[in-house]
Amino acid sequence: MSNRLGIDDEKYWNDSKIKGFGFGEDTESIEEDNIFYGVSQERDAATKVGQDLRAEVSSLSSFVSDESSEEIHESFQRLRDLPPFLWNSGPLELELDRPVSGALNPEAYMHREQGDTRPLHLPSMDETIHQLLNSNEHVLLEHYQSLSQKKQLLTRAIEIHDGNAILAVTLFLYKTLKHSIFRQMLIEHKAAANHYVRYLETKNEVNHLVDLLNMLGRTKEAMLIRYKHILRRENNLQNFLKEMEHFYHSECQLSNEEVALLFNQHLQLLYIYKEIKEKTSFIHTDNSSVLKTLNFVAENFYENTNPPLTADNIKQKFNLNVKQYNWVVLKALVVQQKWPQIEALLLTKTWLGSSKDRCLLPLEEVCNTLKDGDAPIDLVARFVRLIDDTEKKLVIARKLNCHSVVIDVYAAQKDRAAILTYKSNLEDNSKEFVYAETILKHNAIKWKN
Amino acid sequence: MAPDANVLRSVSKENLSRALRLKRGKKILVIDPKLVPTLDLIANYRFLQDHGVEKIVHLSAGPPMPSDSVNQVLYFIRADIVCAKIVCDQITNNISRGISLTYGVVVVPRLLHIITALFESEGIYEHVSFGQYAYEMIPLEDNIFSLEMDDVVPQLWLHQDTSMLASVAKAIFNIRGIYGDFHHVVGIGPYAKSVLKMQTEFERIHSNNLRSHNRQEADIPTLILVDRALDFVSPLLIPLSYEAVLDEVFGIKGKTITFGADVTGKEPVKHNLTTDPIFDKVRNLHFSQVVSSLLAKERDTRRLQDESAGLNLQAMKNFVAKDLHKIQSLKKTLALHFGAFEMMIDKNKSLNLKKLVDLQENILDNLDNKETLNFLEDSMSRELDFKQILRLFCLCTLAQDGLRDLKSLTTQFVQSYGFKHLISLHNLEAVGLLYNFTGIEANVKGVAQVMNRVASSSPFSSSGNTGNVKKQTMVPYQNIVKKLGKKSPSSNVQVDVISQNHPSYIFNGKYTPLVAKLTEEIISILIAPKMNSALIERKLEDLMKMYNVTSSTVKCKSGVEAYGRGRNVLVFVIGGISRGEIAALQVVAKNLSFNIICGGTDITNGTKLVSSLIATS
Repeated sequence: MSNRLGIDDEKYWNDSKIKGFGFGEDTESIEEDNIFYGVSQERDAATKVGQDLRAEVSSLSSFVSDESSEEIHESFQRLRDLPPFLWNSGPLELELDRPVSGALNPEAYMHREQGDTRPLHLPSMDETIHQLLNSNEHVLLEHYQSLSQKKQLLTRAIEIHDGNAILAVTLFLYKTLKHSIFRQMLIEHKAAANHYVRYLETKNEVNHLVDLLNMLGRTKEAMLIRYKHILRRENNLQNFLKEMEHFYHSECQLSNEEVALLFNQHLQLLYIYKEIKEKTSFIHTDNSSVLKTLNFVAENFYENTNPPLTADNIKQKFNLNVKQYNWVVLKALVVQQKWPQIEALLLTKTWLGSSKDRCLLPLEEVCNTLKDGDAPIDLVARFVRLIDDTEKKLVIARKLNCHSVVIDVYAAQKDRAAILTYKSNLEDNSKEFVYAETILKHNAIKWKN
Repeated sequence: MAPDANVLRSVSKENLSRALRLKRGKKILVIDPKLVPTLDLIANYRFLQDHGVEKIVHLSAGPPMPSDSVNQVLYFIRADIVCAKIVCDQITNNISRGISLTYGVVVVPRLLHIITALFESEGIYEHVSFGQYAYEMIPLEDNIFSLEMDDVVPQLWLHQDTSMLASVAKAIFNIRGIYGDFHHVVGIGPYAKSVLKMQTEFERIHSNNLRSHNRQEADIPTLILVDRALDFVSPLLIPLSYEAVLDEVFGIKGKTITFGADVTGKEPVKHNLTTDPIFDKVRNLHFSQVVSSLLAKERDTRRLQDESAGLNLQAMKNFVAKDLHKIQSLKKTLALHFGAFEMMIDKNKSLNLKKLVDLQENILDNLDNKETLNFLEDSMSRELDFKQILRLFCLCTLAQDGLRDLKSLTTQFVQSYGFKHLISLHNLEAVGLLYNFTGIEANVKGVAQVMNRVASSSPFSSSGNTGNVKKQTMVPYQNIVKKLGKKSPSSNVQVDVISQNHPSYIFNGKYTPLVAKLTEEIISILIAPKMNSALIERKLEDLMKMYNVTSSTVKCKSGVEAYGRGRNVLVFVIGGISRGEIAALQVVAKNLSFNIICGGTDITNGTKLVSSLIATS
């Protein structure tokens, strides 16, 4: 940390004059912050200026101007010169717009009177595709009756990459071809399959969709679709559990997809919900993750030693790592103000018997969490002391008002003047004040100033 | 000279009035709530009233009821089958209760076949007349065009649903109709290529039209069309231009930004950025320069105010008439910016900006991976904002050839935020934003391996949905990222975040957005002396090869003089352009003295991108 600026610790502290009381300072070095946010003096000024401005102006919202309700005068001439394809035309106008074809309107086509001898122009394949690209309301597909025409039509739709054309043709094929041929076409044309899959998904046709995905070899997606569908029943735990059980045993157990293991974890979590619900009132949808459930158990059953409702059982069942377990339990213990248990949880003696404690979580965050949870200052100080980096330790100790740690750091730096200044800001005869006095009188320290 | 964007507004409006005329006379407008912000950008309430709208109802409010004077209902919905089903249910409900109304349904932007088919299958086809309404590109500003489609990434890259591609193509075709035919067109990426192919189809469909309205001169001579998937890194990174940071922290919607009470100290404020008197000056500043600029503005304002102290009566009158309002408005604006700035640098937030920027720079540099891993694990254990976690997962994946410890990290992720996110993770995998570390380290052997794969990889297949296919297609893409990373800007350019001399300033010089880099190179080719169209085409094709773009289209009209009518270029990103990219493109524009219009299917950022792919509950 200290070396990111290339400054030697000791030299830095010797050179820098005693700093004022900036408890708000962060642990990051000031120079870096200046590069990132702009110069700190300016930032302080900005805060002040911002406050002043807010005090001066009565309401900030009146400033926002309404869009003028007056229509802007359009230059009609400019618009008139534009090509007609810009203009939205109703279905009727579209019919008239078509250059070649005769009877495109299906009504006209279907209801031709007998004996009508006018030639009947069916749209060419190009025209059909163009109509679909234009998203015309009536597009005739029924006259594509031969399989080769159908195939060609699908190929053309895929070639122009228009989803509307692809899906319209695919649905037409579904209606007019027997199942095996239709499926074969989906296998051969992935674009058609993709659009059809998406269509079934939005229409919520789960069974059909799962079959199709499995047939296409997209087994993981099939599982996720089924799972997503079951999730809709999340509110009713009993039904949800039943469906998850069925889903897991019939579709996941034999699967070699990695995701199946996690479906199993979800199932295990549901069993734990059931156990908790038997013991206490518990809303499972508010605790819908493993960590949230662990938190609930740690908050409500921390003293319990009988499985399954112990924090340890959850840790083992879901194979949680130290970070996950410690963070969640720490939060739960802070809420319950169980301070001694926190020491037991986080501090491990190093196994060579050294007296120094070790903590596996990032210390700065732990200290902040404890402070925010109103932990006793001695406990906070204990964790602050574990910070290796002196500069960082000092900044955090000052920020969190761990006075004894601040004094110790200065003492270690033999900086008598710093202690004197710091002491002057402490309450007379407070515990910390007395501590500072004691240190200052210490004979063994060779003060540098 | 910039082209007149007002024409686009007028065309959108004229077509809206035509769409409203599907039901002539008085009508109730039932609107899909998601369309409201977009229509707001096109017309106001008064305009709707002028076109017979007596009442506006949200689609979610239940079946519309007739009133004494109104018996027509006009629905405005997105081209979405779930919305269409709601409409069907409402109409069926009304019919069964004997309520007599007539119905029109306008679908935005296009009437899909499956929607009319749905009405048919629900047995109410004969009760409804159909219409469609496609608005033009919406000029949010003179040089920022948006189609306001926010789900293009999931549609195109997750579901491979191309039904909105035609709407993008038509919007571009209409740009050509309004501003004249493009002289040079570059399509980069498979979907860009498809959109350009559709241009040819539209040309055939409207050939008569085009013959009679053939504008040879072009207001916008150059079109550059880019697929978002070629550079997902840019939106995933937090850019450091002031506007982009505002967007990251508060979210800019259309032209407005909403500040909560924590910024204003009072009531929440909807702030219109287009009428903001200082925004233009500060928007593209690097974040570190913002505070001093705001302070200078504040001093100026105060000086202006102080000058009024010694004025005589007449001068005072003038001052009140002219400057007082201006000063008040400046002060209000400054108050908002100072408030916003303070929020942005608030370090007490669980995930602070500086920490995230440090992390993303380490990820790009492939440094301190252990620290990144620790940060991710701690943040997940503390259940911090999951979208930022996913964003970092994706960034690691793209910048480092895959996410190290994928299995363990994703397991921890679902244990923290719920198993339903198995779906979110799968979605990210399907789009190619998340995959396991592929094990090629940055050494000679690794490079050889990459080259090998590039050589054997097939062009992007839009139907590829399995993990293996995706990974393959992502390899050339990785190379592009590398090119834009450390090697560029080239070592002889010193990136200066203060003078903004290089588009990479938005990422502290660590990365150049692909779209900015390509635009710069393309324009440089176009303005090189002694070029003819064939030569330009060849140079552009070489450029595509250099960036390993496997799917591209390059077209150059022969015999046209380049840039006769203003040096305007439209750069359009299919899948959304980010504010960081817009700022970077402005640097390119400034360096080359061009006017670059930045367009996208919407204006996006990393949070939006990730949000569009996560499981909704």
